[in-house]
Amino acid sequence: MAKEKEKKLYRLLSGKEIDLGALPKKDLEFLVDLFNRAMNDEDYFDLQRLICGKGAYPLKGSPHVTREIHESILYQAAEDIVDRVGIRQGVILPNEDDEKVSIEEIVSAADAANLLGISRAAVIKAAQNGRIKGRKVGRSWALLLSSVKSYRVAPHRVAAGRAAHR
Amino acid sequence: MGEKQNSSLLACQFLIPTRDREGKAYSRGVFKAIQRGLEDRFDGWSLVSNNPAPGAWRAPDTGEVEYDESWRYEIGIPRERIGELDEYLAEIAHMMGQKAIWRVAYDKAEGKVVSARKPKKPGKITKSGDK
Repeated sequence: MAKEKEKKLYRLLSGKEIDLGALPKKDLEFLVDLFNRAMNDEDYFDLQRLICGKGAYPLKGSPHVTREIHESILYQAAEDIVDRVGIRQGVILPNEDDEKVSIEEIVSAADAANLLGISRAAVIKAAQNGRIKGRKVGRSWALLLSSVKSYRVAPHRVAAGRAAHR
Repeated sequence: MGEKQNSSLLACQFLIPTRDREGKAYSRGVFKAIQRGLEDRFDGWSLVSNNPAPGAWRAPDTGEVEYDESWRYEIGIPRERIGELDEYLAEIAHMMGQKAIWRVAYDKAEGKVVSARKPKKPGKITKSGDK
């Protein structure tokens, strides 16, 4: 019996969840690369060309973006990643009913490690244990900045608590 | 684009401004609505590689030179559908609060520009592309 593919849910700005689990490996690699570029604050217009410019990977050889391409899981995820960059860079505005989480509130494991002053491995362990909220996208981690910040605060509170009990 | 490719197909390019006339960014939904409208009416769209195109133009009402940046879109349509495209561009202009949307049509087989103009004055707003 064929093994069922693991679900990899991605939440769009609109709040809709799409499953990346069924995408071929190459598509996922494209999204991870795009995500890393977005995290590195690459220019919105450059990223936009990567998803819908001539010869862009999500077009899969089509000279045009058709309705079918636009509604594909790959294109929806790629468009969402790039839209978040556009919003952060002030090039486009979010829709009124968009969710508030934008890419500026998401950090990589390496960034979280720098922020917290701990190793990347420790950050990943915390994410795997659910102590830092986030999601694994391919080989990378997308972590909620608010969760990373509160993780940093926790030991501080413990220290403050100890001081209070002296 | 199927059987339509058999008739005289024109490559039509048009400029969609990245910001409104006061320099404010549009919501992402505006561009999605435009794109979906192009997909539904003309079977698709593409971006020309050197986007966004910086431009300067003289406003006919004030005489002042205004600067903007625009996405350069391209679609392929039969010659007889140019009027339909211009109608849609007029709707887009109205929706975006723009005076007009510049458009040019090339006949690639003949290697020449067929027509280039600012379409008719803005028409009514439709939500046909906003699904």
